[in-house]
Amino acid sequence: MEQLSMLLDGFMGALTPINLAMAVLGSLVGTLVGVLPGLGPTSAIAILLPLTTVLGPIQGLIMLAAIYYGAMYGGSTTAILLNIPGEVAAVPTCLDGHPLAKQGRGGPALGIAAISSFVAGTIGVVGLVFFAPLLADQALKFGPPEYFALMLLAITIIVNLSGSSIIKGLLMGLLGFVLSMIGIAPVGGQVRFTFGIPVLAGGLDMISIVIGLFAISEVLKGLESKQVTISKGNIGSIYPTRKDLKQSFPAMLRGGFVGFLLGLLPGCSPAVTTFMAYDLEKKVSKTPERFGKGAIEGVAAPEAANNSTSSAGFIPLFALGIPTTPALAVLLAGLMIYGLQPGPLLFEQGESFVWTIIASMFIGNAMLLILNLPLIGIWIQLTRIPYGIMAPIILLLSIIGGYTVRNSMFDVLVAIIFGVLGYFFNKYRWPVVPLILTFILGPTLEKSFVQSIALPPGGFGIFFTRPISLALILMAVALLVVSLFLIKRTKQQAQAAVGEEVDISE
Amino acid sequence: MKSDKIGGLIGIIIGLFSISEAFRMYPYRVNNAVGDHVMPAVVGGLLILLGVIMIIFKTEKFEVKFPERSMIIKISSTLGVLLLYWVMLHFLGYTLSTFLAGLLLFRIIGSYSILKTISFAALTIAALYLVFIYWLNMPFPAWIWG
Repeated sequence: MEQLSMLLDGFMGALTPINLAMAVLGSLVGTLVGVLPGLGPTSAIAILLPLTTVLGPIQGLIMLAAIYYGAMYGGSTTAILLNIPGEVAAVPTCLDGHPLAKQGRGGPALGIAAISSFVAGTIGVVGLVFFAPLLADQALKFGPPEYFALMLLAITIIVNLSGSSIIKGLLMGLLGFVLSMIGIAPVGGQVRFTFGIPVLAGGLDMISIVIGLFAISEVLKGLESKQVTISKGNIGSIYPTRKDLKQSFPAMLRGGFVGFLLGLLPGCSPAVTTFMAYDLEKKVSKTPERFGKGAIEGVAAPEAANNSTSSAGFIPLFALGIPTTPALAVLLAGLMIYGLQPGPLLFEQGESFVWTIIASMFIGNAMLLILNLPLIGIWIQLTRIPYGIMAPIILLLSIIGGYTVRNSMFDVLVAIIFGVLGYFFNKYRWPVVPLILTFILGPTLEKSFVQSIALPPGGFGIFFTRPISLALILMAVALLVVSLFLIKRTKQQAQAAVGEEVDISE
Repeated sequence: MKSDKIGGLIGIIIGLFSISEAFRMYPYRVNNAVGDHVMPAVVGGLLILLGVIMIIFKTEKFEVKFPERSMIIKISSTLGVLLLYWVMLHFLGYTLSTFLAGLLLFRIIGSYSILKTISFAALTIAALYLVFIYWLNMPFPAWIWG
């Protein structure tokens, strides 16, 4: 009850015209920057942070939080319409969002993405209001063995994302792992897998690989199929139907909860939780064969997870001063610019300030929905532009996206190389999503493994003697078995229905 | 599928390379199970194992269709322009090389008339310049004369 009255006070502070204006402006600017490829929430906050310093602390932070949410939503727009995931967390959204756009259902997909973001963002903020100190405390119980077990659990997703051949999926996953090891090694600081090429010491950038595998190879595929526009036929209704909403709502809730719970853990970024939410949705679906071909739940679940993970990240940030994602680290810098030190004392020393920010998150989420639903009609026109115009623009934006993350020309070359590889991977049915997944998880998996083994008493027993770690490993094994069973059953059902072997890829 | 067997073979080669990196990292270890050699060894071993499985066992059969010659030329030219763009960025800087790459891409992909091609490329570079350089102050490469 105390929290509720604090929150009401927060709303009183947040609902001033100037604060509302900052929330609107932040959401809008964040969305516009997020739409640009390669510029995710981290870059958006980093670029726009200096602009907010002219504002007062409350207005500045309200605007930063709104930019954060807006940039996350903006990433889904290009992922759905153009198959350019501006950030890794938008990759699962591409898997079903872009096929929907191609079918002329980009509008409903964008609408569901906006509504999912709102629903899950609200779940996240409710969690922040009521459980912040309690959940932050629980998250601290996660040590290296628990992280290793969690990463193992996440890696079991590969089996579900391997398409028609699990062996191919696993090989691609291992290739992603090797690629993630390029650069400076975590224990001794030696360089690995660099072939003596100095530029490889910095490692490969994830966004360049994603842009190559998705955006550039998609254009090459589009050229080959002599695509006229991205979407075929009539666009139809640009808003989700009642059936879409009914189909997506449970996915939003599930994705929101998965994202929220995992988002409390430092290092468990939206890039991980969106994949887990997508996989969960595919597992619980009665028709998993629709996934990868335009299932609206495949958009709702990862988008919900993305937003709730980001909201959950504010809990360890405010309560413990721990930023769980790079974007929150930049936001932490923003808090410190205003002389605030997040941590246990923040809720005592800056009580009214914190509750105003939390209230403004509710407002920011609502603003995002209100602003973006009318914009769908404009965005959707992108899919009607002739491909002869759209394809060069996508390619030029892809090059910019590859460059802007680290301002590196090498990353541009990586994007082009992976574009070519993506084209051939697609031709020969080698799934690319396992590669991306292990590229993200690989460094955390290796670091947590080495740290766990180095902990006393040493040895592999540590993973089985700690309750949370053991439970997660058992869950990973159980999920693996369930996934294998479900894949076999789906193949049999599809074969029985069609009368021949069916590819249940993606 | 023959392509799957080739994929398996590539997996084995990458696996061998990964194991060789593990050997190179081995002297820098903390102990046998702690060090930068562990994951390259594990991943390399698994790559070899799965690669062998891929080669030995029967894999799925499917048909790989490649486009006709004119389309292959179009796709290759597009990739060629992207590589040329990457080279041009080093020498001509962002604005000029993006304009030139835009010209070539609109011409190759869209097959538009010269006038339309120039207009589309000019509009595109103007929009990109406005957003990325003027508004966001992105530090793109300048040309060799600064």
